[in-house]
Amino acid sequence: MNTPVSDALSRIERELRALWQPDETGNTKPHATTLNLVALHGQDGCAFLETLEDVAARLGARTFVVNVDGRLEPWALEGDVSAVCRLEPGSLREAVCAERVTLRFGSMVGKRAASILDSLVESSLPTVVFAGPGAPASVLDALAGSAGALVIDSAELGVTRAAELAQRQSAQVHDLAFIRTRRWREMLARVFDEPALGPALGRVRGLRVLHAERTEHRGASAEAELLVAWLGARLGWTPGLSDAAGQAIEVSIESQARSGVIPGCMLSVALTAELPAGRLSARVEREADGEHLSWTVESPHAPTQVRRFATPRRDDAELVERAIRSFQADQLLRETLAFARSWKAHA
Amino acid sequence: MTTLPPTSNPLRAGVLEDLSVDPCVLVIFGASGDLTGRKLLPGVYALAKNRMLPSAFGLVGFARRPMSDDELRAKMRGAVDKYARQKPVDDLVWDDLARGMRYVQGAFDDAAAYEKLRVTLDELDRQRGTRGGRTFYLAVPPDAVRTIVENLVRAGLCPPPGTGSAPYARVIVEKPFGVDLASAKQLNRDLLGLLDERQVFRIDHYLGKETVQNLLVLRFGNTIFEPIWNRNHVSHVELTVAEHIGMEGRGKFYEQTGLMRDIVQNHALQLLSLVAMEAPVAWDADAVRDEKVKALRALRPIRTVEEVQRHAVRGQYDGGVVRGDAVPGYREEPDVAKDSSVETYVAIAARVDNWRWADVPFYLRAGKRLGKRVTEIALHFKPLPHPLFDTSAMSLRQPNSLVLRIQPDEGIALRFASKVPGQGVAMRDVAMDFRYGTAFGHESPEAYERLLLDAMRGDATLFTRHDEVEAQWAFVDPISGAWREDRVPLARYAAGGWGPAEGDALMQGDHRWSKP
Repeated sequence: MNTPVSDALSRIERELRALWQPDETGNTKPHATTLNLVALHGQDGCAFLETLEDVAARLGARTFVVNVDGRLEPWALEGDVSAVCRLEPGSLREAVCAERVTLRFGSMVGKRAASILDSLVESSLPTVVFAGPGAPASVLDALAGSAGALVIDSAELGVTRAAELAQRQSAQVHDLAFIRTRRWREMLARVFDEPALGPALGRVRGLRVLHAERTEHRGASAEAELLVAWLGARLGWTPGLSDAAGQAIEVSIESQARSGVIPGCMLSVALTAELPAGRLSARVEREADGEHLSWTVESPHAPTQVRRFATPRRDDAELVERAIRSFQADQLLRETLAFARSWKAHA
Repeated sequence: MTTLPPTSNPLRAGVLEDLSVDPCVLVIFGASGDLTGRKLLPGVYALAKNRMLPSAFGLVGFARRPMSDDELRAKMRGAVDKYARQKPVDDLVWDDLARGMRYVQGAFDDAAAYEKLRVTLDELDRQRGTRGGRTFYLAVPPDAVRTIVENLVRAGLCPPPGTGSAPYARVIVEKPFGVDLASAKQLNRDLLGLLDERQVFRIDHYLGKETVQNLLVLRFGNTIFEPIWNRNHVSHVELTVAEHIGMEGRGKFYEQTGLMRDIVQNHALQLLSLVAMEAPVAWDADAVRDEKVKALRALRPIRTVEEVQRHAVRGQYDGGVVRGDAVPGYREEPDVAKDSSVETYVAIAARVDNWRWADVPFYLRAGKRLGKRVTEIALHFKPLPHPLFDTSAMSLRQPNSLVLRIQPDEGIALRFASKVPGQGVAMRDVAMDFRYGTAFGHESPEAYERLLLDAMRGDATLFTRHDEVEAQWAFVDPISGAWREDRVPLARYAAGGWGPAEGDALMQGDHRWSKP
């Protein structure tokens, strides 16, 4: 006996098959699909959907936009199928199209999301699950298990939840918040490229991270926490934040109101460490223009060094695309999240 | 300044992979030239824009013309505005790049200029944190290469790997690598007398093209193609490098060079070597290049005048119509002699004498003022052993071919016969077409971007080694020699067509050039 869900699913499958049939003039839309992109979001996902649009176009993905809609009957499944076409640059000609399937689940159907998606994905292609703001936890858990890769943002999920997901999933996990810290990590790594400063890595005494104040979320920014956790994981700190010799490291994460900077984004990192000849002090700071980072290192081994670097504009679609295309092992992120989890549990 | 290798810093793990390139300064010799403005700076900008460059990066222009740092920046900004792949230019990215730009004026043989260069590089190390990494790009005529490298070595700017204080120093050399086998050997002796082969990056920009790299992935990253990539299944291979443009102000250059040296000796033979090579034992520069060299050395020599007449054709275009416009013949082009016998078209029926390719003709054709701009490789498979269906149409007797389009519209097409829907068994040849631009939804990087990045990373896989260059010259030299002595007639063809009839006559049996 057909159920409302299986009827809806059959209709969506028919529409997907019909999408690339020739039109009345015999023409077929040029189409390409390189992966299945399953995007989960909450009710208010406008900015997310814009990002998704951009990502799907860049990747040529069969895209599923999924949410659980509390207004629907619990066993309802609604879906629309459409072709999304990119135009050739500088012309109105359609260059290539890909499928877009919008799925709205009633509260009970959400639990069967994996089974529904199984029938709709292009099974020969990899599946990436992209968790947007307000992604329903149960659906995310259900889908993450069958995905080849999982793109999350611990700025949305929280670092602890991100760490849980990373620990549970065998899929490659990419965290946008961690990717956003990349330039800061590079700047800190640069301090210790100078051989004379290498010994200070084992004698870090203080770390102060400042981020732009968040109005919608409580607590520290995920980026700031991930930066601390990355240092802790790389330098072998204990969850109680002391080094291998048992010396305590004073870590603080603070926030500050700053106009023109996205809430939660990092504003500065200051690190102090001991060297046999004196004290090392390194500071990376977002300048007032928001577009440059200044890098300052004071040590007993050289005159104070000050450098200035451009910081890339934040482009969420590019971050997601980069994460999906990444073939790098996600070991660094897993180590970082594992440290963050034990550090936060200890705290 | 001494520095640790990056791996000794635990915070570098996972960070360097993202940024790809160690801190470095790119020094461009010939910075006021056309190549720098059209290709190199737009390439550097694209790398910066796409965050492939380290934040500790500097660029030094070196040329004879007097210019200040600011004038260099303004000139390069103009070039990037005009030729950048991603427009408009991002001011933030540009400003950061421009802050690390310096100009050194001097003659290539002026020792004092290299001292100025050294001071500038040291200053960049201090100001930009470039830590002694150096990549020297010689965008200069071949006769200047030795002088520049000698002076770099004399000034201590290019120590061999493992010596000196700099973490690395590499030299990128533009083609042509010599003008014949003897001069190529001399140039290689000169370079390798001063540098280690690992420091020399001979650039052939065709190897930076996405489809050329994908040729290796297609062959060695899949299981379905390699078993049929041999004489048992392939009937013949066609390689076309066609341009619709004429001299475009390069008449003087062409009079000295000709198409054989400009395109066949390098681009066409590089493509041939990638099609013909055996699987390398590893994906590293030497393993890949070892196999390419073997394929080039297996090319059956075309030595005697009779062999040249039988297996090669040279042609020159007359006036004609290209893309709807009437265009002059080669001899009417500016700076071209009225009785010039320089070739603007070359076709060669080559053989690769090894177990894989015995008896399989490799047809190469390249030309100026042909029907359209296209570079492609087509593998035609053998005809059906016993036709079951009506195969009266030529294409259906030999329905299968694999076409790799290098430019434009980079992609791959597989042609095969298919039943026409309906009653009876009517057949038609159809194509499965893969286009890079559509499948991956974003533009491929320009060849120079990829190659600059690889050179700065020290990966020479897509650069030609000295023995490859010499094997290429060894193949084309006897053919060019017979032509230079005018012992083989120069065929004529109308601009806008697909070359002279003599080129068609090279094909054996029922082989025909495809129309790209």
